[in-house]
Amino acid sequence: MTHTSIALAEELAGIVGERFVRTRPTELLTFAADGLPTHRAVPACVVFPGSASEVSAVLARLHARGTPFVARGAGTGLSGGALAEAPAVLVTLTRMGRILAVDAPNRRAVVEPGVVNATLAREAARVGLHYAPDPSSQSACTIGGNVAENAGGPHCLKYGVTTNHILALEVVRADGERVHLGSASGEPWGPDLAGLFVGSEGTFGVATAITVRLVPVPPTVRTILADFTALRAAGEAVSRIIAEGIVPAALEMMDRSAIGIVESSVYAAGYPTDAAAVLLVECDGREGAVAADIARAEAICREAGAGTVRAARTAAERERLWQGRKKAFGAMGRISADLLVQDATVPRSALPDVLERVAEIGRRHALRVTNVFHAGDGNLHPNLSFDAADPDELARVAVASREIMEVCVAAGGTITGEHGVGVDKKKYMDLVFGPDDLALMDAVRGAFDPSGLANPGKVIPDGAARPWGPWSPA
Amino acid sequence: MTARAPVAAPTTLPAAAASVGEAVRRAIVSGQRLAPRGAGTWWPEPPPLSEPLDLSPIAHVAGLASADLVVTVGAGCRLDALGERLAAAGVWLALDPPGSRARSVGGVLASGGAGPLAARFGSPRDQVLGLTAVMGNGTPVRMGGRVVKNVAGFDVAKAVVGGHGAYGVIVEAHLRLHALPATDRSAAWAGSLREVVAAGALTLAAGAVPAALEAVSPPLAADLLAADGWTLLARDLGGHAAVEEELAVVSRSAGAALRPVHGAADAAAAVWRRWREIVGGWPVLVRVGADPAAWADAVALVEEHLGSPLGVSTTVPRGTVRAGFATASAGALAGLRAAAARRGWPVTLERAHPALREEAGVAGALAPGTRRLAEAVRRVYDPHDVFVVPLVR
Repeated sequence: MTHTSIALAEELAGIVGERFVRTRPTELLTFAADGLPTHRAVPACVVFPGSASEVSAVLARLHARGTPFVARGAGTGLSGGALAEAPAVLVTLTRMGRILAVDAPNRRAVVEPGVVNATLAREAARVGLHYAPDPSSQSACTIGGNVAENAGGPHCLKYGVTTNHILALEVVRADGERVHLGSASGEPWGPDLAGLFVGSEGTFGVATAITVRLVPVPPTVRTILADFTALRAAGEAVSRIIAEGIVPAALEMMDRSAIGIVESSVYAAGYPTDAAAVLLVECDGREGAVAADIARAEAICREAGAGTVRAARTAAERERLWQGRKKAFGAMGRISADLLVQDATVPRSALPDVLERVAEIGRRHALRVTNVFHAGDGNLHPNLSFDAADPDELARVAVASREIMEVCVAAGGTITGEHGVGVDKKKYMDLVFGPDDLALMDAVRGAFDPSGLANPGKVIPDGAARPWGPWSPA
Repeated sequence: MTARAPVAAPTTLPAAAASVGEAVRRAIVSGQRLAPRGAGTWWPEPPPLSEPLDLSPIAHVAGLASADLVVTVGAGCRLDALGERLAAAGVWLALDPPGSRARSVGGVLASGGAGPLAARFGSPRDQVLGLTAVMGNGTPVRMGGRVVKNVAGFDVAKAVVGGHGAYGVIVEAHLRLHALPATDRSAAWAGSLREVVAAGALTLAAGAVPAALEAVSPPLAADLLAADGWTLLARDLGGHAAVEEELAVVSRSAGAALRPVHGAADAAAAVWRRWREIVGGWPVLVRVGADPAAWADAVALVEEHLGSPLGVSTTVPRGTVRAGFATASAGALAGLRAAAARRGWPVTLERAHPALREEAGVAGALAPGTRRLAEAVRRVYDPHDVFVVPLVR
C-alpha cells in the first residue's frame, strides 16, 4: 500500500471501525472478481459501512480526496459492474442487511441494500406476500445489487423486472449527500428520479434504503415440462402461448446441451436426454384460471410438436422440475474451466431463427454453446464454455460473443436483458445506441454525480459519446 | 394564439425527429419558448408567452408485432385510433387515463397519468419499452428499445415519461401490449366512506388482484352508475375462469360490508368510459400518492385544504387519490402539498388552467436535495429551458 492509501484506510476506519476496512493484498484478492470470469480488478481497499450515515461519511471522505469508489453487494453480477481497480475503493454493503419493515396492508417493504433477495421473499411470505423479481442468484444476490442492475429472473415474465417493483429509494450521492427519490406509494415528486436511478449500475450513487412493492402469494401454482425434438418447435410454442393471451409466471427453455449437462450432474431432474429442448411452463393465480391456462399451454406445446408433457403433481415434483433449470449454471461449471454467461434479448417471434444462428456461431468457432434462458421474455443466455488459460479459445469466445450480440441486435433485440453493461458489454453499446444517445446517458450520470467518482469506467464506452450541452448555430 | 405546425406531417421517424429538432433549434435562435402539444384536449390552452409545438401530425402506427406484443407509434397518434388498430390485430394497450379518448399517445405518456387499470398494469412508465424524443438542445435521442426486457444503458426514458414535456418531446414510443381479453367484467358495491374503506382493505388483505379497484365518491358514483353513496368499483379482464374467480374474491370481501349496485356488470365498458370523461373533465384535477391503507386520510386532507371536491376517485391498491375541483388557488394547493409531504405523499396538479399551473407547478413540496437533483437533471434534458413547462414549484 502507498502512504496515501494507508492514510485513506485509516480515515475510513475512523468512520466504520478498523475491522470493517480490508487492506491486505490477500484480502483484496477476494474482491478482485465478480460473476464475470473474463475480468479481474483489485481495489485499493474494501470498506464495509454499517448504516446510511456511515455510507454518507465514507463517500464524503472519498469525495474530498477525489478517490473513486465502487459499490458492491454480493458480487454475483455477470457484467463486471462491481469490479474496482485501485485507486478505487470498494464499498461493500453486505453489513446493511436489515429488513426495516414489511407493511402488509400497503403491500410493500423497506430494506437495506444488503438484504439478500431470497431472504426478503421468505420474510414477505410470512404475511402472504412476495417480492417478485427472482434472479437465478437470488439465494445470494442483494436487493441493492438488484436495483443497480435492474435485475430480472424467471418470474419477471408475468410480474415485471426490478424497476416495476421499486417505489422509493434513499440514495447517497457521490459527495455524501442523502436524497430521497420516489415515494412509498410509487407516485414521483415531479420527474421519476427513482426510475432513472434503477439500473444505473452504481454510477449514480448508492441506494441505502429501498422501498419495494410486494404482491400477494398466488394461491395456486402449476408447472409442466414439455420436451421437443427441435429447438425451433419449442421457440414457436413460446410465441403461440404468449400470443394467445396466456401470461405464464415463467416460461423457460433449455437446449440439448443444457439438458445433457444437468442430467449428468448431481442436479439431475429427470429431463429427457434425447430431447432437443425442454420448455418449462409455470402458471400461477387462482385455481380455475391456472388449470385452464396450463391445459391450453399443454395443448399448444403438443400442437407445436412436443413429445411428452410432464405435469408436476406435488410441490416436491415442481421443485424437481425447477431444479434442473435453477442449477443449470452450477452444473455447467463441471464441464469447463470457465463459463461466460451471455445475455441478450430478442423479440419472442425471432427466437427460433436467432437460436439457429447462435448454434451456427458456436460451431464455426468450435465453442460449446449451451442455452438456458427466459424464453417468454425473449431473454437469451447463450453460455460459452472455455478455458481462460487458452489464449486462442479466449479470443474465439470474444469474437463469438460479439457475433451473437450482432445477431440479436439485427433481429430487433438488445445486448443485455438483465445482466447489465458493466465493463463486459461496453464494447457492444454502439450496436444499439448512437453518439447522441450515449451523450444524454453520460450527461444524466453527470447530473447525479458531477465528480464522476461513482463506479467510473462502466456502462458508457470511452470516447463514444458526443459532447452534450446547449446548442448553438455553427 | 393559433397552433402552427412546425412539423410537416412526416411519416417516418427520422424525418419526424429531424423536423421537431429543427423546430426546437429555431426556437432557441429566436428566444421563443415552446409548449409541446398533442391532440390539444388535455391542456387545451397553451401557457402564456409560448409557441405551441404541434406533434399531432406524427401519428404513424408502425411495427405492430402482435406476436411479440409490441407496437411502435408516433406521439401524435390518438388513443382511440390506436385502440382500433390494435383491436383489429387482437391486442390492446393497458392505459385508461382520464380525459378524452382522442388524447394523443405522446400526451398521455408525457403527463404520466394512469387510470384505474394501473391497479394491475401500472402507469405509463410500465408500458413504455423505448422512446425517441427530442431534447431541449434539438437533439433526437433513442432510449430503451423494442423488447420487453432491456438493461442496455441507463433508463433515461423514465424522466421523459411523466415529465410533462419538461424533459424532452416524445416523437415516437415503443409500447408493451397485451392479448385482447376473452372476458371483461365489472361489479360495484356501495356504502358509507368508512364501509368502503374497510371493504377495500379487506379485499387487499384477501389477496385480490383485480385489474381495477376504484373507490369513488357519491357524486361521481351517481354520475357513473346512479349509485347512492361511496362506491367500490371492481373490474377484471382476462380468461373467463380467471375473471370469475377474481371477482368472486372481491365480492366476498366487498359484499360483506357493502350493498351491491346493480347494473355495473351490464354497463361495464360504458362505466369506465364515463369515468375517463368525467374525471378528465374536472377543470382542476389533483392527484395524491397516498398509502393504500390511508387513502381516506388523503381525501380528508384534500378537503381540508381545497374544500369540497366535485368528485373523488381512488385507485385503492396503489393509494392514488384523484380529486376534482371547479377551481383552486395556488396558496391552498401549496398548503395541501406541505401537509401531504409531511406524510410522504406527493401531490401532482394533473390538470389546471395555465395560470394555476404556472403559479403552483405540476409538482411541488420536494425535499431540497430532491429538488436540486431534479433541476440538475432537467438542465441536462433541456439546457436552454426551451420547453415552457412549470413542472416543479
